[in-house]
Amino acid sequence: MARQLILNELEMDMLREVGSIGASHATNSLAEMTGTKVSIEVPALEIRPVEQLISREGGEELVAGVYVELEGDVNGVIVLMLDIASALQLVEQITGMPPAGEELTEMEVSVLQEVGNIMASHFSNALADFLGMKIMPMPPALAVDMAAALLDFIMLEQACKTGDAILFKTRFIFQPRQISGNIFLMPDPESLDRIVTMLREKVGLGA
Amino acid sequence: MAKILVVDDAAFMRMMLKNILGKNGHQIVGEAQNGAEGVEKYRELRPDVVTMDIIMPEVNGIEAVKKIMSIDPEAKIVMVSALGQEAMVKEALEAGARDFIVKPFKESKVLEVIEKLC
Repeated sequence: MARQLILNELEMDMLREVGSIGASHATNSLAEMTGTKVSIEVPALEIRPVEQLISREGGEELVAGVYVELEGDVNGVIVLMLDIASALQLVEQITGMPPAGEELTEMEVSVLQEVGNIMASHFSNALADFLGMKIMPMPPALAVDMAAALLDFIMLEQACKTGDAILFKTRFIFQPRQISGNIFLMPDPESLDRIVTMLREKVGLGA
Repeated sequence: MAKILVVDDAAFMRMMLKNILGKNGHQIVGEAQNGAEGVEKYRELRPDVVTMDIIMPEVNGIEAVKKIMSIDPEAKIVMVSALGQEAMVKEALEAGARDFIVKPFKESKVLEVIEKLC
C-alpha cells in the first residue's frame, strides 16, 4: 500500500476542521467524565511516510496508549496517549482513588480503556454525524511503551507499514492538575479519500 | 425496584452502574462482559431491565439486543454506550432497545430511564 497522498490547501484546511470537531467532542466527553475543564490546542494534520511520522513522536519516557480500531466508512485507529503519571492522575480524578503504585493495576487499566472508548466514540460520533457516515469503534486495548514504539506497534497491527500515513494530532490539557495528553486519529488512505470526497460535496465542490 | 442485568465489557463501567443502581434500591441480578454472555444471562435470569453497551468483543450490543428480543419480545433493554451516532441509535432502537443513554452519563439520567421502564 505504498502510495502518496497529495491534497491541496483547501482540503487540508477542511480536514483540520474535521479533526478539530472530532477532538472537541472527545475532550468534551473527558470534561464530563472528570467534572473539570479540558482545553485543546489547534489540531495538527500531518501526512508523511509512516517511518518519519513515527520517529518524530515523543522521547524515552513511557506512555500509556489506549487504541481503538475503527471500522465502517472510516477504517483506521484512534489513540489516546498519556504519560504514565498523567494517566494515573486522570484515573484518580475519575475514581477518587489514589494510585496503588507506579504500575497500572487491572482496575486502572479498565478505567483508562473506558476513557479511551468514550473519547474515541465521541470522536467517531462527531465525524460520522458531520460527514453522514457510519463509523464503528472496536473494543479498546491498552499498551505501555515509548510513544514511537507504541505507534510503530499500532501501525503494524493495522498492517500499515509503507506509504504515507495520516496523523491528526490534538493535544489536550486537563486544567486542575495540568495533565496533558494527545489524541491521534490515523485513518487509512482510502478512508481519507472518502472523507475528502464527502467534504468536497459539502462545500459544493463535488467530483 | 427492578432486577437488572448489566452488560458491559469494562469492569469499571459495570462497577459504576452497579453502584448507582444498587444504592437507589435496584437489584443487580447479573453482569456480563460481552453480548454472547449477555444473551445467556438473560435467558437464565430473566431480569426486568438490561443495560447494554454496544462496543464489546465477540457479540456487540446491537446483535445481542436482536438475540434477546427473539427470545423475549417483551424484553426491556436500555443501551448505555458512548456511540451516540444517529445511525447507531436508530439501529439500536429498531432492534428493540427502549432507550439510549450516552456515556459519559449522569446518575440522574440512568435512574430516570430505568424508573420510566419499571
